[in-house]
Amino acid sequence: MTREHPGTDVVVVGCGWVGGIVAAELTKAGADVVVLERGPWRDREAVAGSHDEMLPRRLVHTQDTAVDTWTLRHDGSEPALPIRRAGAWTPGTGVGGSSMLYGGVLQRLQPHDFVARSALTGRYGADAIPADSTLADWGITYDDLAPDYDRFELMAGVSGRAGANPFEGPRSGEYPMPPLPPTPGPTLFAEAARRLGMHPFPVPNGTLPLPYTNPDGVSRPACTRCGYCIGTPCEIGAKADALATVLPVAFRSGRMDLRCDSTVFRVTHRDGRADGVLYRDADGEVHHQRGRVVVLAGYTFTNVRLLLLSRLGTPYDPATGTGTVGANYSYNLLTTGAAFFADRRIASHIGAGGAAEYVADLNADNVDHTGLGFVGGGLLWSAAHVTGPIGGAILPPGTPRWGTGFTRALRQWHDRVVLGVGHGEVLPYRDHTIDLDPVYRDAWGDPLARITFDWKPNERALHRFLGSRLSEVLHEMAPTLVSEPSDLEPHFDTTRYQSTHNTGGAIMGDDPARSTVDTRMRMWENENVWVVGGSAFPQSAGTGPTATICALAYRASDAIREHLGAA
Amino acid sequence: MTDDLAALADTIFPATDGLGSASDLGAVDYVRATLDGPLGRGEHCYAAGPHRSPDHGGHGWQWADTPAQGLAHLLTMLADAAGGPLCTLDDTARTALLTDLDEGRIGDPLARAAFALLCTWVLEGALSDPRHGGNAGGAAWRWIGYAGGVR
Repeated sequence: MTREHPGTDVVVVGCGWVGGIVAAELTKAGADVVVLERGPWRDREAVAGSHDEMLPRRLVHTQDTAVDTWTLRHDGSEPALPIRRAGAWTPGTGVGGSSMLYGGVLQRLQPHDFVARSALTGRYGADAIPADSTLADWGITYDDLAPDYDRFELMAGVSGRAGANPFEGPRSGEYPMPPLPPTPGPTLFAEAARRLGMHPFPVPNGTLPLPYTNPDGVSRPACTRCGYCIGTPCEIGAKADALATVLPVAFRSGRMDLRCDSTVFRVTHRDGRADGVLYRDADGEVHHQRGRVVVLAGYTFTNVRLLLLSRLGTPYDPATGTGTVGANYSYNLLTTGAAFFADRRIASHIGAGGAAEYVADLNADNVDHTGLGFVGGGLLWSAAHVTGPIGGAILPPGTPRWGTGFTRALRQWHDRVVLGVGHGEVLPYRDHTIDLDPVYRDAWGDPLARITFDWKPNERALHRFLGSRLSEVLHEMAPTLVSEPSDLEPHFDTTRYQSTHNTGGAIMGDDPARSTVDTRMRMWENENVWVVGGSAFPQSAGTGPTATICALAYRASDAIREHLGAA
Repeated sequence: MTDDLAALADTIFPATDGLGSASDLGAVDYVRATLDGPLGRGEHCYAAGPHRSPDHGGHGWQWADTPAQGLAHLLTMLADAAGGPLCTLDDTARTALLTDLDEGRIGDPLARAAFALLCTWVLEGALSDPRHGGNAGGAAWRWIGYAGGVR
């Protein structure tokens, strides 16, 4: 039996950054909002005791892949296999979603990223982009989105220093907060990069160096530099997450009805209009929540899978290039290396995930790609984010993984390592898609999302390029020895963490034949459905997606408010 | 009490320069608790079939066996290769056995995957917060010089 609920103005699927921003903005505007979150309730008291690196290692805050996971195949001719345990990416679950788990970095994309196809074609000719890439302009420019970045940064208290990154887009003013205090490892990295002619900068991020009260009157304390950010909810709300920033605004309005342990599995619709969603509660009972507007605010794969399961929009067919839902799946690539210092301690247990020095000299199209054999770019960075002695057990190449050779190395190199990272964009390709798996199903019998993805030559070349420059920085630090960045594995490895930066599948754009949602995230084919999140990115960028996802959520909130007012 | 699991764990993490072995630190208790807990039973892992063997890498653990079953397979395989219980071998013989496993002279992919998992769990047992049952008294933290660990 399906339990019917009274209708509301807006039904939001997912309570992460996007769901929280939409709920706050629309309840401020007087709308009634029902937010459905599949994971559990949590508040700040519930995350006390987070100073334990076993929590992220055991994936306690990550989507439960026993219930609902993804399948992956490396090309369209082979059967996909389930990702049986989250590894390469670890999306959050529960109130706050992944906003509770990210490292805190909140960096804007570069102006180039929004117009990458036309810019690259203009500079290098159409042949520069691989023929099978579906790289697409976003339909908006950086300048269009800048006011939404501004709103988000003011709300979240983003810290940074305007102009410190010479490649960042124009800003209306200084960051709301100054940079976090420097930490030793990233400082060594930045000094070396500067000597090599690069332009390191303290990365903009949502972890507060000072107490902050935002325009909504929400106050948060300064970071205590405890070091537990990445994969871990901040115990005190110093790291900007949905629970510390936007959800209090929605709660105090009295207009948000937040229901946890509520897994949405269909959007119900008729004649091009959605009338609500179906969801299961913790006991498996099915509910129908009606609403004038439905907002999909889940993780990339969750949004796309819900569209496909609900038969909303037109599924993408890579053979013909028709349809859009599931197209332009892309990701980020990661390369890592390490500098080992026999004679100095790094104090790597102190700091924050956002206490990092970044280099954008190789990002986007900041270097001339003529003759390089690839397009796209990425960031180099070093972050004070080693969260404990297990994750920090980074040992020199050739170290045995058991026996006294191993145990002595644990002691010899503990806290004497500076990790360097290269983080690059991944082009979207015609055959890199998200669809429904024909074999594997979730705990309730619905098909899993199936991902078709592997590393292609352009990405392998970019990865090597970032790795070689990263290696130069590591050597410039004059360490005792260096662990060199390695090549990408023969096939994408679902077990090795790369990033949780999955994008695409319901992309935005100004052409209904090529995009699922318009430039304000409303579905072209359904006038009262918004699909907001990483799923809207036409492609990934060298810069991480979080700040842009949040800016898009503000943009969508404006459109939804206008729609409600006009309807 | 020494059994094959403890013997194997102590070969992975032997007593070193004043620090006790995996058993001394409680890391073997940690491994046993992990095996008996959700991870060992394969909970929080997608368990539905079909279970296929991929013809190339990148897909992680695809065996129908739970991690606990994989570890049991490893211990049986090693004991068979050694011709008797691991706990009756001396350190040199156990080290030679694991070297054979590492270098592919004995074992199969499931045994090697289970061994990698065991190495990880032993490290976690040795270096995680003592609240998880290993790293007795924070001895391993003091030994490596870990300055964090505040709660």
